[in-house]
Amino acid sequence: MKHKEFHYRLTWRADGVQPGAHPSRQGGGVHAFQRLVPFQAHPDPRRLHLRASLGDPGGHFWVRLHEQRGRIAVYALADLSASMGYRGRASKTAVLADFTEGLALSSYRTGDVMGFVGLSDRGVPDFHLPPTRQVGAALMLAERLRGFRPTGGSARGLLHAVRYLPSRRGLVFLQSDFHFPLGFLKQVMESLAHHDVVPVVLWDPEESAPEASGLALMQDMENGMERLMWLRPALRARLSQTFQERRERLAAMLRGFGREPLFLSGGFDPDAVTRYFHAG
Amino acid sequence: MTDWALDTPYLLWGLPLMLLPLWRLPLRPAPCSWHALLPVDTASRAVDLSLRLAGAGAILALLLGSAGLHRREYTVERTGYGAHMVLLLDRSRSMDDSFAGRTPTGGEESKSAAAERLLSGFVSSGRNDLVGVAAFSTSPLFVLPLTDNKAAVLAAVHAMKLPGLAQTHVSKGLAMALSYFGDDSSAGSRIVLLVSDGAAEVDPDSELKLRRWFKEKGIRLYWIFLRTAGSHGIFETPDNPEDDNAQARPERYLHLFFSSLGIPYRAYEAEDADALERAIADVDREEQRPLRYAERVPRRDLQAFCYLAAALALAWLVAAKGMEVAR
Repeated sequence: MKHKEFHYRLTWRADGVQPGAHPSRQGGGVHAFQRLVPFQAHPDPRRLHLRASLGDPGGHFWVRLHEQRGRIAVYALADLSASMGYRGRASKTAVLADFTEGLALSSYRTGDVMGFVGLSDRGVPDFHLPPTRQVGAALMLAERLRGFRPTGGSARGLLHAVRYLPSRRGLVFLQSDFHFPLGFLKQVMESLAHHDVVPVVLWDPEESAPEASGLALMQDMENGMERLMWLRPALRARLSQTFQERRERLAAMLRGFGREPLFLSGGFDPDAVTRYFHAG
Repeated sequence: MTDWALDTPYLLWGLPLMLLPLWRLPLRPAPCSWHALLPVDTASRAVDLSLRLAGAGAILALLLGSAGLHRREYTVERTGYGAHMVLLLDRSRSMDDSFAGRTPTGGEESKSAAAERLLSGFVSSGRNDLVGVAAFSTSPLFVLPLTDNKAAVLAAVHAMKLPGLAQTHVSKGLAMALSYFGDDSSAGSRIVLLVSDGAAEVDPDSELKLRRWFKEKGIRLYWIFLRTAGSHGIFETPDNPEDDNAQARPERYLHLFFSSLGIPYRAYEAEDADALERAIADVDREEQRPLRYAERVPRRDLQAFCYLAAALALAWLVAAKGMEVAR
């Protein structure tokens, strides 16, 4: 079986008390040295710092405080509007399921809790998994996701996502095709500003650069509008260019919220996710 | 002026069907994640529009075709050279004889056959005459009203070859020939071309009526008298004054009657086919005046065009279907 796990890394410190794998603000651990504290604040004689204690004019004892690495909650926040039912080279729900599976395994190995919220046009999630360390639950959800046919007419439910996320800062993978207006994306990102949001853009080569030539009656999956396209080399070039421009605008917009978008085109590639976190 | 009509107009109730292709395209929709990312393409929109119009047009053309679209028959007024002419033909039995007064044998030609041959040539000679045909024997025969349909006139003239009927009753025939013309005397010259081989007395009642009609209607009269050998000519004055009456010499008295009508009148005495030909040529030459006449343009079925248009529209639709991207 192909490996599905990837490694993610935080650029901030977790503030939970539970021990885990991520840098944290919590002291009292055995990892990197944080600071010196008075003995009364952390009465652990094993960490007594001799030089600081002897040099203290008041004769106080100082102990070293070491970091305790922490655990975070990792969330998969999925846009389940109808356009996510697109089947190009790969079905987007399948990519979503693959990613969720990968995330479940990775977060389990890392020792984080994982949750899932899948929203479409309503404020109530179509799929909801409260944060758990039981990888099986997430894997089952991913399996159900594979057979799911999204029907929601919009992604407006994403605005309610924050209600289903934990109050502590967590890592949120916002998985969507981002086929909605940038203004709406801004609202969503602002509502999630508390969390570290990794925008995962699920696109398919078939939608940006279709290989076929001829007449295609394009039906919008969300509002059902039909538009005839006469696919020919000139139009295909313009279509790719439109997607390229869209990609640049998305990136520029999301960069303002602290994260580059992660583009997954045509399938889930765990190595690409690892590279996203570790290369640069 | 042109007038369009349908044979079965109730089929037009199907016209609302035209809205269907305007509403939906006949292609299978391919899911697309977001329309806003599709570039606006004029060529695609043109194809879209053409497909919708082709669908609506095909339905319209098929409906019009099956409803039997046609242009109604109408008449146009034309100007040509010729005359309104009534051929008044003698159908008495004596016309079946030869110019020698016998039943034709061998190479001989009967008077009626000669008249038929030469009149046919005259009718088909490219004049724009409006020709009517009447015949008379004991009573007048209405054959063909004034028409510009040459084929009909020729057929009527050919009917002269059929064996003749009985006596010669010229005044009733003349009355019928005159009845062909309406009261409006302005349209071109009006000719009665009387072809006969005999004559009969004109009774006083008819005489009055004919006099009035000839005058009123402005008729020009040509009489081609097919003189049988040995009979009396129309210009002959009898030697014996006792014979000089309408009973004995009806030809001469008919001629005198015609001359006294006060209308343009010419009489020809034809004693053989050549003389007859000369007489007809004479009429042909004389009667070449501008003539305004109404030509009838027959009904024209336009179903073929409808079906052709439908076929073209459907061909475009089928081609588009063939160009459809398979998914």
